[in-house]
Amino acid sequence: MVSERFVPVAENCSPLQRAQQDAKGEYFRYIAEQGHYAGRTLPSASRQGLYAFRADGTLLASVNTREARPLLGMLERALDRWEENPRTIAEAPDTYDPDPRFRSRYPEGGLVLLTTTRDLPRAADTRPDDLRRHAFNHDYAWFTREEAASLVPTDPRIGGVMPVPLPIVRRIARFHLLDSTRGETPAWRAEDVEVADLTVEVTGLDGEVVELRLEGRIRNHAHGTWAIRGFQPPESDQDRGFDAWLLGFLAYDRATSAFTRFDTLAVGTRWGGTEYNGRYDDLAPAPLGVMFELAGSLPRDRTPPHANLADYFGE
Amino acid sequence: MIHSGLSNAAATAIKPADLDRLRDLISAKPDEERWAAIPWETDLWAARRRAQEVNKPVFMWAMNGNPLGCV
Repeated sequence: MVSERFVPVAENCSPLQRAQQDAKGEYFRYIAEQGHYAGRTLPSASRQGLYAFRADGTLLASVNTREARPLLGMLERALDRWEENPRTIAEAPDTYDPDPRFRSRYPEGGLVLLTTTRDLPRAADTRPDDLRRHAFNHDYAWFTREEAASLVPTDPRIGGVMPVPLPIVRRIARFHLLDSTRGETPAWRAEDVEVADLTVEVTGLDGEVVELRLEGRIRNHAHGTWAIRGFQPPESDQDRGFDAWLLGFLAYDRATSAFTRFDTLAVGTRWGGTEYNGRYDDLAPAPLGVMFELAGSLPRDRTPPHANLADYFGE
Repeated sequence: MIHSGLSNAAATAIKPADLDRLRDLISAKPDEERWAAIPWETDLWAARRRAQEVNKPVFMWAMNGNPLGCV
């Protein structure tokens, strides 16, 4: 139904709901303030949800749900209202003057990875057999062309080993070894990275292709006061961490200055929770896996990393 | 029950022979990502323009965090 009867779009509404000062932000706020969270400030000002609307911004229906039945009901109501007047009236300008704070920073020619984070099976599993056991999450990791090239020795020789450059180690450790399995979670602070030892070894040379083995260990740990459940007060003496071993098999084509393979896993033990990552009932140490692989070329594969990009790129 | 091979308490180095098995445990399965088959626009303004061109309503999935990435 969505593919056939609508033009579907998916976007991060965090900037759109308040901060983004341009025509697109205004357009989203106009739509959202007709919807299910209109005017809401408590428990938060979030406007996340599912919206159906005319191109001129007239809301047809909206809901915030993870359940199929309410969503289907919303879509049916939207289509009923659409059919009352199935005609697009106003025309939007082709372009607008975008808020420069939210410009795309996609690393053209660089290295873009898709990550998948998921709990690994447990010998003794007390988790309910629902999304808390089966959840997974994605993110994207971005590295500039120069950063990607820095992973490859300038004069590669089989058996040669070099440390992974610090900016790459930092980015992986702080921003991508996170327990986001059930929901988003803050990045680690620099001081939370207790161990970060990553190396690459040249394992093969095939013409212009350099084959590499990446391996090492990263241990992140934080202790302090924060909420471990959404919209609840912070709690003291909280502890969270992820102690992971990494192993990856990479291939870099020097002719095209591009990775053709980046199959890497980070596997280890996580513990603790954060305000929105849904771990409040599952704080004890348990196995977690993060998989890294080359992203594809679909429009969704240009999705930015979850992180604050200024911090992400060390600015 | 498949066991990950890891204790609940300590991290251990990954054995290369376990790589494929672990990748299979972590990776998303096709029936877990049926939503990905929807031809999502990734920009609200572009979706608005397209909705005008094809005379259809827009359906927007808006989340704090990108629904196509980490949420």
